[in-house]
Amino acid sequence: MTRKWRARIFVIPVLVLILGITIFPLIYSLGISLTYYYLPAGISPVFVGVENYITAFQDPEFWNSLKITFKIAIPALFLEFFIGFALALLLNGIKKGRTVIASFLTTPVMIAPAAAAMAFRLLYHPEYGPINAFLSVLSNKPVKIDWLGSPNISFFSILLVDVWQMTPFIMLILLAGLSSIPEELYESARIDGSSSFQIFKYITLPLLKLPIIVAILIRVIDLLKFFDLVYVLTMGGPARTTETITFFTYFAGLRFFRVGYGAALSFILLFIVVGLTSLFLKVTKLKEIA
Amino acid sequence: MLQRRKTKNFLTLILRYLILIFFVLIALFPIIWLIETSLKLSKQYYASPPVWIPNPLTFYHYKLLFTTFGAIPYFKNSLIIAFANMVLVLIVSIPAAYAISRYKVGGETFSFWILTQRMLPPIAAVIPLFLLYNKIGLIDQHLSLILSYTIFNIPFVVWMLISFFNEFPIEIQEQAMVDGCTELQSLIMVVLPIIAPGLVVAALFCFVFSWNELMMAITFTSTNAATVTVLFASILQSPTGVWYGEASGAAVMAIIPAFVLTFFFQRYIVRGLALGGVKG
Repeated sequence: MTRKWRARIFVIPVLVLILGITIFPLIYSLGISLTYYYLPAGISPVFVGVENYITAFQDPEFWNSLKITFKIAIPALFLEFFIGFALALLLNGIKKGRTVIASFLTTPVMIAPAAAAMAFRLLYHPEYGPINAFLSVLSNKPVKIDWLGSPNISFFSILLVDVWQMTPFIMLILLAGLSSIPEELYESARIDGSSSFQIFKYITLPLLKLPIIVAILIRVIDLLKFFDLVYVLTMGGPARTTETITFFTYFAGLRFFRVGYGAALSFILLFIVVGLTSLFLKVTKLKEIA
Repeated sequence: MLQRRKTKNFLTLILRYLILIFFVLIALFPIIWLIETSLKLSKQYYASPPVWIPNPLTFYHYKLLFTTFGAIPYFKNSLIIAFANMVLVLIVSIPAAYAISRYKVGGETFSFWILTQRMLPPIAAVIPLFLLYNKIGLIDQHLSLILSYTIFNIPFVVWMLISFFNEFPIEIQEQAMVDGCTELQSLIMVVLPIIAPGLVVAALFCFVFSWNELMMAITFTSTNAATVTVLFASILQSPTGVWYGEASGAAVMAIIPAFVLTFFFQRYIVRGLALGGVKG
């Protein structure tokens, strides 16, 4: 028995778990997505071909959830990226207290999104919440914004929670990238008479390309799965203005038990995630993410 | 000239600190407010304008949380599930990561394939797993979540461990084998103790991801195996009105593991987050 052959045995447990808990269920789900399967009816699934997929594309609620997913994801990504980048640059420019400040800034990242949502339910309360109280003091008149209950701003209130939580994530990755750029590069550029802007454009940005791509990619993937904050903050409301695609799929499949339809929706989401990721990797010409 | 430039640099530095401190306040305020609310009397959180500093402090909500709401089983379940999942993931991931790092088993395709599992939207696995668990009677059993959480923890831990094994100087292990160890002995007795700090961090990340998870927990469990996230989701949807103090108390206790991780393992967190992301 050669060593390499023996090493193959080492990967078997992982392989078995991935095949059993991920791959097999996905294949099973693909089958279910081709059937009419309404769980409470207590009858076996009936094969209907691609009907569930056609239903989805004709379903205005599906398009609504897709629109809302991007309506939340795009501004969230922009805010997280620019604030996170700015914070990373600020942190990189100081020495004293850098680790302490970074630790404090990072606290939101690791806490459960459901717990973060709980905190913001308190902050957003129209009557008793500190945000409105603070705005009232600033504007010197009573402010009673219904952050989560008003259809025009609820999606924004929700995405702000994600920005609060995940901006430090982008900051950490970019800070790691920044601190690996050797100081001598900046020094010699300065001696050659480059301005701060030139240094940023021709040294910092190109050398940060990889961390920037990694950070954005991970955020895009996670923002498309947006669920926990919606569940705790608004339950998709008011008037379905915060119903993301994962939330819509969850309700179709696991609350109303239209299992076949839910499975089809989840595959559409899977294709969107895989499609966007491959497109992104192609555009950025990045083959390895790690 | 030089003097003026020095003053200007000094002022920019002060400005940097002020902006950073402003953001630190934004980062901490929601958490502080959560803790305050859990320690306030109800009439103080139903107050307009809000009471900024609770007076008196009360542990009444925590008492209610552990008596009326019966929080202890939820915490116990979260502990059992997160811990068992962590052990399972480590046991299968250590040999796999070792084989991939040392012997390039399956080549780049295999290791990349493991990583791509992380792209999977959880809902795509949750629907079929719900049906399958239903068939084999795993619904509301701890095992359902212990198994399900491997979906995102295995790719994460395998990749984190591959990078640890790659950095490990192979000569140390070879020396041990020259001295008479078998390869397995050298892995267990020489390599693992040296990379132990990294293993601990990977394990803690695993623990926190499981601890924080909501969607699978509310789908696969209801009473017997329900976790902390299920507890405060249900307190919030309680038909008798929202119990802010109790829900805040539950949320406060739910963020403790994350706090520990952030403050004690700051320098490992970048690597961990870059590989794992946080949300499922």
